[in-house]
Amino acid sequence: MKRLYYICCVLGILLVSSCDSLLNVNDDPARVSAEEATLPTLLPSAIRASATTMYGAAQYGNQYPQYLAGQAISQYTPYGFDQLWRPLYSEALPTLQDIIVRAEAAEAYNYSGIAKTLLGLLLMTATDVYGSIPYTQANQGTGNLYPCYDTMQELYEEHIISLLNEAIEDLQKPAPELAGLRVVQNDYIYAGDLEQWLKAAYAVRARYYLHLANRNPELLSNAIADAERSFTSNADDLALTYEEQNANPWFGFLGNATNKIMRPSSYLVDLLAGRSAFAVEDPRLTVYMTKTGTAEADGITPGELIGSNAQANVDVTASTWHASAEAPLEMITYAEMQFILAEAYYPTDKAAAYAAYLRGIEASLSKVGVAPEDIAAFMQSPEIAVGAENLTISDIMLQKYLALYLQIETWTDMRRYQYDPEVYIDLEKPIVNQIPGNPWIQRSNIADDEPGVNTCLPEVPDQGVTLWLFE
Amino acid sequence: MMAGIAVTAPDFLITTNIIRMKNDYRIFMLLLLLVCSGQYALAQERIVRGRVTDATDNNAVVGATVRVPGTGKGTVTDVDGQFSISLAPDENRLEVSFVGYLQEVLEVGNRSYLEVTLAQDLETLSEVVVTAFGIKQERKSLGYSVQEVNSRAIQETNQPNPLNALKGRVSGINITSSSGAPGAGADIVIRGINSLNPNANNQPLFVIDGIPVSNETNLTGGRGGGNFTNTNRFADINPEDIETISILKGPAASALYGLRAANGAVIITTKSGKAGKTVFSFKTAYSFDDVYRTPPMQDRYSRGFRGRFDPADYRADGPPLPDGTETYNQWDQLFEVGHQFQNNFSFSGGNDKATFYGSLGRLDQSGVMPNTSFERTNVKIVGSLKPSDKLTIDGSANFINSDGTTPRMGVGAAGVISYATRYAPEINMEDYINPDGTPVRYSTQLENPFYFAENAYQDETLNRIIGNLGLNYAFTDWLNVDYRIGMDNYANERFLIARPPLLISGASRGSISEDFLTYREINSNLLLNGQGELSEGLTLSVSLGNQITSINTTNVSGSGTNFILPTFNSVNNLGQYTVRSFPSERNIIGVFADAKLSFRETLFLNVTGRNDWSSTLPEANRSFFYPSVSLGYVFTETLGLGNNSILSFGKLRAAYAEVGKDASPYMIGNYYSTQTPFRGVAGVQRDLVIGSEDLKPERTKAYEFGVDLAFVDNRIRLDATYAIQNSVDQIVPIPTSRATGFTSYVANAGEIQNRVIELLLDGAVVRTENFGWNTMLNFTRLRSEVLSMPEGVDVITFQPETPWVKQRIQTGGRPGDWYGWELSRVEDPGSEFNGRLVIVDGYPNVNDQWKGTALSEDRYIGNAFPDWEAGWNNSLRYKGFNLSFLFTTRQGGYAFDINRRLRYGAAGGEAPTGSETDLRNRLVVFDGVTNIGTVDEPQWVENELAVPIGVSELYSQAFRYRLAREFNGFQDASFIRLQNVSFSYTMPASLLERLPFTGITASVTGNNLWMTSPFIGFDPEQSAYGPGSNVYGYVGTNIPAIRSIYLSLNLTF
Repeated sequence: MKRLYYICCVLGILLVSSCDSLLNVNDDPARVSAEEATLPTLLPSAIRASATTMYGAAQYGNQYPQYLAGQAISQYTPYGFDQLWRPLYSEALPTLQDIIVRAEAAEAYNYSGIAKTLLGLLLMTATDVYGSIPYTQANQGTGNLYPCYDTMQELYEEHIISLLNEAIEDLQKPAPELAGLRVVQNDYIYAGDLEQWLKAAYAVRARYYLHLANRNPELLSNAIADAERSFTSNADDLALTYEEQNANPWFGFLGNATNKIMRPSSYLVDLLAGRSAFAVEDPRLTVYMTKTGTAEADGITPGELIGSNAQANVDVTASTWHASAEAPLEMITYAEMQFILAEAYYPTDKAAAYAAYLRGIEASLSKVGVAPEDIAAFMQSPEIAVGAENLTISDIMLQKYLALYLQIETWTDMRRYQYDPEVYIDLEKPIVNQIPGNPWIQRSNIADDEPGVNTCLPEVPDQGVTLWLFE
Repeated sequence: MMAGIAVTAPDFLITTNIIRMKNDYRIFMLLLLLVCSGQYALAQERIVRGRVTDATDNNAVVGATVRVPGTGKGTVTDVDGQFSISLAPDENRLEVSFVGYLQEVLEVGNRSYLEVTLAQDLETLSEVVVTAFGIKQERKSLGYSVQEVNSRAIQETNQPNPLNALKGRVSGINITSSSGAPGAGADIVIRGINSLNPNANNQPLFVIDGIPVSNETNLTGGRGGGNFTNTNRFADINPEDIETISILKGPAASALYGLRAANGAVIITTKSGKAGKTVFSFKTAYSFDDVYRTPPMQDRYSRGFRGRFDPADYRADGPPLPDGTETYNQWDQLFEVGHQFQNNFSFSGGNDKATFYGSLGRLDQSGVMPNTSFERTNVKIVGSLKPSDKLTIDGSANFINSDGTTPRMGVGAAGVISYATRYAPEINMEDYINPDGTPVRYSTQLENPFYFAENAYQDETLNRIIGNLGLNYAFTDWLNVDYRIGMDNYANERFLIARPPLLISGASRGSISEDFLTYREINSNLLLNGQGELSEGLTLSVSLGNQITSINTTNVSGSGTNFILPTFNSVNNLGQYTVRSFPSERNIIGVFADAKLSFRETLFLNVTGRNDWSSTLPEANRSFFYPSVSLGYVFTETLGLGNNSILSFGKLRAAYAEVGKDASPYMIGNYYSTQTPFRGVAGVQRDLVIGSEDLKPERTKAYEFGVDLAFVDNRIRLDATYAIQNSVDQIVPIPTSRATGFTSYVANAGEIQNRVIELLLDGAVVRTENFGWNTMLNFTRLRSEVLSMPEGVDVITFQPETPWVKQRIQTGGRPGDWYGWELSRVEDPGSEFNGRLVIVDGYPNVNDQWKGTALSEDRYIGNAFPDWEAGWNNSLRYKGFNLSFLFTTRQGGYAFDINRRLRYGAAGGEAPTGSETDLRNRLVVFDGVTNIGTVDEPQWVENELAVPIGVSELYSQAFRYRLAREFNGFQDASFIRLQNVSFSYTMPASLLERLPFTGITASVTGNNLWMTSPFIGFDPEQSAYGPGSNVYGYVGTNIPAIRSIYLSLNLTF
């Protein structure tokens, strides 16, 4: 009995003394607190998320500019660009804004400049796809559970431009006081070289002015000015290079996949094979795709589903330039800058336009590793070397089309010209069009995730209705 | 008058037993009766002795009651089953009864020694049931509903997962096996889903011998992963060790267990040693398992597209197969006969100071599909010691080891069932490997199911120890203290592989994941019990208790991709890998009180209160109190109907209870997580879930009303219960727009109400010495309603990616409500064509596309939960033969057969292999009407347009056929099922004399022998998203339910 009494006492003491320590255990030991996160650890996540977002926009969306074909999306079935929406709002935008807030508080404008450049690029890409998107009310957590959308006009006229202007300012500000932040760390793209980031910021703004020139042609001169201040060679390209163990997403999606759910379209293949606008075989054909068999390269007709086109014989494989494991994912390039210059100079200065056109083609070819003698031969072919006076806008846009292979920017280009067959020679609508009235596709459907969780949705017409920028 | 003299010896026995079973009011009453009636005993009494044994194993039945009917005279059997009773000359009958056995009435005649065998009563509701904290209570004193299932009902099914043995036997519960795979988990929901959260756990608390244990289902890939059917941890328990399972259905019954029992509790009492001769028992069973229900497939069309043959096309949309072409049924090829080999050895014995029990169980199972297996070894020892009259010490240790393999299944297109579904009928699936080891593949879209099963699978190993130690000290005969500490500790190793040559390894170049999960739960229960008679007829018993629960889990996972060597199966073979660790800790401290007041065996009042402190809630909200009160009124006592032969017992009961429920660990606030390294640098990124800092406990408030009636000398019993349960302040991750920067935020919101009607009818139809027939019927009707949703959230949708069939929770709706697209019909009550199919261009039309209805518009098409469920069990006994059969039924409720969609057409990987697509290449005039007017002013005429039908014109067309709920796999999942049949023969003692055995029973058992259902496809009972996933009704992706026939033999010696 006495022993039992002692046992009870001991248990009682144990109990009382340990209550608090038993209950104060709700901090997750496996995760990082907001205080522990730092700018140098947020930046690499932001860069990866930005590349994922750019890839996501192009992954299925590239069927609209008819690079690849084979999925129902190419038949204009409703598509909400989930692959763009999710990484943008769940990863890229929160991390970039997190960097901007922390960097401005720490006066680390080197970091904020980079983040603003990338955010400007992503917002422009997203609004070009969706039109209206949430921005001023976005990323506020429980502070705003139903973010309303900003219109494309607001985004273009206020938000994107102010981000890009601030980026350019920030990137020229003095380095921060704090030693740990003075040099940008963990920058996968330019290794902390702010000169390079400044060029990239100009490049994004050049693209921005070119887009907006669709509504106000006077802005072409701004585009020229910024493009001139941007990249000076392929080495400057804003691109994330992947590694063997963390492969480029195109590698997993198509390059290394046994079951390829998309294949190069007949429009692209015909263009490269010299059966369309340029009657010369393009050396990039064998770099962009792999052919099986000895027949002439042939693609899948836009609107046809994968497996329905028996004569198609080219594929995106792991040995193609864009879909190898260690391929860079291009976000904005020197070649694009040259085509922006060509297009912007075209109405006023044909010679400058032609020179830029040639530099763009050459940059594109050399970028993907075409041998110098093949580059020379191709550049000298009469189909390409048309001379300044014979240069057409079609030449510029089609060569830009080929240079920006698998980038979503081309879809914006096509819509700027409203799929004009005079520009995009031989371009045809998909053989199956699920949008009533058989229009060209103009925009994304509303993001599939949104209905049901956001009560502040804009009216989104069908995907055949033109966006503000392209009106 | 020589009062009481003749009954001296039995009297002593009775006294000792009463001390042992002091909670048993019935025996207490009996004693009173005896004392009173003894005065009238006559002098010329004779002594009759005898022995009571179990008809199944011929073991002594200890503590059986032997009574002289109509006199109140009686005794109980001793540790050897012996009894002795004195009878007056005119007393010639004896009633022998014991809990769990059928009562025997014997004519004594001239005999002075009687051998009485009692048959175990399979289904009769026992008089004494186990309630919270193992407190045994008389059923008649309860103010709430508790139902108990005894060992025989569990063991005769031979189900390796004891949860499956409860199917159809208990009202108010729903059990869903996730699949027919060996070791597959099962899910139990008591009185409906209490949580809006699609990821929430609605499983009850499982308590074994007074100590809570884990019934977690750690789904590989998390909830919603759905690729493997992991085991629910209660399935580790050896069914042969179970003595009874008691289901505490509502919060009133389970409130004392606190927050973890908010969904009810399942109280398991395992076998312990019995004083007396040491008994050894051996059971062996061997089974034949097969898949008895498969979807109909077409065997007429070959590979190809639009009628053109293409040997590399995965679609069976080619030309008709030439006559004489050999075809293969996909299911006949894939499924084989599986086997279970179950062996169990146990021993039990002891004396009045110490008892022991030990068992060794082993299960070896090969599944019905390639590369499926499960093996389990259970070892258990139990002992108790009574060093003094006041002190009892007991302890047990249970070790479990299991090892299982299952191939990857799952909701996505890459699963064994999914691949087999789409295999062309002319291809021999079993010819799947080339001499060089590469797979035989006819299409780059389809993997061979056999090859896939061998190269994409999970191996799971479990080592578990459950132990507990208990001390009971009786200070006086009215006050005792009980302390019990228990531990449940397991380590679960998982090895998942998808080898590089597989199609799904295209991007990953082969992947492996090795997960190491541990779980450790320690419970300490301290209980002080006191009882006494306050005044005549008024008894009070009070318990005060403290419970401390500490749960620690770890989850260390090494996973990655990029095989370095093609056949080296280890994470050490990966070029790209990460190691992740997710420990968690959750502690709960509870104090509680329980007071029971009974008045003259007529009124029973029970009040409880408990306060819990949980570590998972914010400090300000982590302490919470909840009460319960229940009242039982035996109106037959008041009415003086105690001896009425028609209505022999009647009780009304009512209860109210509240239970709180805490959150999972680490749900408050927001964290960042480290990312996988990329080019030598790893970043951090904010998580997508944010938790409210003001999180409060969830609360379930329940009312329960019931009536218990017994008729014809207690031979027929009816229990009826109506319960209303409201779950408020639910802790839900509310899905948010991604534009908020998060995908969900966790807050208290929403309310669900469950209303349930439970009926239980139990009758001893025939009860004679040689023949007995018991029948038991239970019925459950559950209705749930969402009373409110989190503010601003109109709807929570599950599976938004399939707009044609999706589950949606919204105010006024019911969990499991499905919305989708239907064939378009004329909706104009004024028109003679009202209700006719709308035909556009000769074909049916879906979701009112003819008038341009948006894709987002849909309509209610049905609910995943049944309208009602019932079970009907019969057990018949004739001498040594026993036959029992159990029918179960589910009426109403739908299931969405994901598999059926794959059997149609050619859009997202589907192949027209189902027999639904048999009708091709012909002209058809659909029975419907066409609009020759406008959309706004339609003018309907009879459709006369003949159109060709085929895969591309019809079956694969989203808006003509494929996505209409009439065809897309959405179906009525009602069934009537012969759940279990068991036939056994026990050798009579007379035949055993020359054998070294004291009991031999041979039996044949069948599970799932027959079923009928309007559902086309596999057995509709399945769970694509796994146990505890809270998503019900998605089926067709896992190994289907199996039919099993067992041959078994029980020996005791």
